[in-house]
Amino acid sequence: MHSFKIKITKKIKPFLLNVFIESNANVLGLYGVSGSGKTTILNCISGFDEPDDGKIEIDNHIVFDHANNINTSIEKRRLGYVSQFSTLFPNMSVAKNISFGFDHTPKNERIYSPNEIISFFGISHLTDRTIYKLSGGERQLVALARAIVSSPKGLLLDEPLSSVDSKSKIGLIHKLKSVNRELNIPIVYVSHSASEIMALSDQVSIVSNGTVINSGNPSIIFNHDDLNSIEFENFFECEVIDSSNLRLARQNVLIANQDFDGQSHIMISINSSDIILSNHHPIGISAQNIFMGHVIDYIVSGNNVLVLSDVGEKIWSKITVDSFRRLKLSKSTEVYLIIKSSNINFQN
Amino acid sequence: MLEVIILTVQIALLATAINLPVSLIIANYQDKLPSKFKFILDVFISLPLALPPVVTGYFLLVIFSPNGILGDLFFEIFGFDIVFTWFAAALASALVSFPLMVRPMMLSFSNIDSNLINAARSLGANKFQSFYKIKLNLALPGIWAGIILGFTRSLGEFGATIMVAGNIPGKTQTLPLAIYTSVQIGDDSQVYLLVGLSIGLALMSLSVYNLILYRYKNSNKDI
Repeated sequence: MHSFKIKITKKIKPFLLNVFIESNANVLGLYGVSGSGKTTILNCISGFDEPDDGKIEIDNHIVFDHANNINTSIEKRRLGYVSQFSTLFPNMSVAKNISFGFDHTPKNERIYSPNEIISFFGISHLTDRTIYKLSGGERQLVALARAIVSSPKGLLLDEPLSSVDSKSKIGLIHKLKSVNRELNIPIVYVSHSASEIMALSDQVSIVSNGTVINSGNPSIIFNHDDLNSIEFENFFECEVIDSSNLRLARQNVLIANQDFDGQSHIMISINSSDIILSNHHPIGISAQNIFMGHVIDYIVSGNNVLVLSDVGEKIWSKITVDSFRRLKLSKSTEVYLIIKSSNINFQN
Repeated sequence: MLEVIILTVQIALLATAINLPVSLIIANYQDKLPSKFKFILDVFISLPLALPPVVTGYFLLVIFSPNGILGDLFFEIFGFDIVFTWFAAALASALVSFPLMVRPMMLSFSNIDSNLINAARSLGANKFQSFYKIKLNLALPGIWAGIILGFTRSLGEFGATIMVAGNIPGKTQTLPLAIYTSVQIGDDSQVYLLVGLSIGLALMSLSVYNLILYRYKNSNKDI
């Protein structure tokens, strides 16, 4: 478990940024619309911006304390940073980009070698390339690898998936989950995507007009957002059984034949609108994935309801209010989730 | 003849060497200036482009003459008068070519995404390391453009040079001044030769510039 204590006051146009976040999450999500102030919060944590007042502490490592005149320089904060825009150095190859952080890390503080991290991210085939020959997803993967090679005390991710295609996004979420699980690095994840926050963070703070309006479990996002417009994607890590079978918690997931190239686990995504709910076991239907579970929560907004069901994993489904009433769903109701194999998306 | 060429190149090289550090400092720190100061700086940097070079030369003559503000100081420190020396010719060339040297560098530096510098620092590089490993490296095409343009302009400098350094054969007579003298005395064959040399030097400088840029672009493709 990690700890984040972030208290920032800073005048920015058109409002005063005034936030206080205290969390023990492994991945702290900052959620909000564009211009809400979440990137400025991240910039203050990284040291790119200086708050007018406040204190920033990650895992008991104080990087800024206005009262005690502490303002650690960017390079000494040792916080890896990946943004939505490519920050790879265009004058260097992928390999040199990755080793840049390693070369500038004090020898006694180096935890990972470039080769270890290149292998961890499965990007050895990219190392000789110039960054112009990388796709959007590959660029972000390299940026992430580069940040981790510098053995950071935390990772600051500013909408890192917003400019990558959906298949690369699934792969990157898979890698980020592995980073969090296997490397145990505290992460602050900024996004305006409910799906990404839900997939990655343990706790979220919703930022609006420079203040935190709510903090807690990521599902609170749905009380804040208009569900009529939200496109929610469920992300799951599955065990590969064979080319057409995956294991998701206790459920077997049937998929169209895929070559997984020896991978033991892969990431899948299912859009909440692509899931059909039934209050009894359906028979005589073409869809092959029928998961039994029970409703644990639901959120109504306008004409839609997001239903959270537990089928061994928690899955969000989006149905209309009319359907929700017709099925007589409520908390603890037994429910069947029906998913077509073709609606299950895979990483590259 | 050889003496004129050597002196011309020597003066252009010194002018470039004087301008280079000043240009790099201005290009690097331009974005940190408040916009009002940047506007004023832009005007002053471009002034030698708009002024007739003889005016620039006249100002230098006034300042560096034995009774001038800096001329007196220079004499006290170095023990000789600067005016009518090849060093004065280099100063005149430096001033006139300065806008051509600093502008491409300013453009090149301002086009560098500040996120790259922040990224370098977040990876452990200090200010100086992120400057020379990232910023300076990415600005190289603009730096080379400024150096070659400034050097080439210095090779052809006439008006300011004649004002502050005169036209003394073997001492301050550069190629353009030698052409002027030859035209005055009606030595056509000498004029053709000097004009040819002048064109040759300019072509050589610009070819070097293109070659450097070509190699730079290709090396970026190959890494």
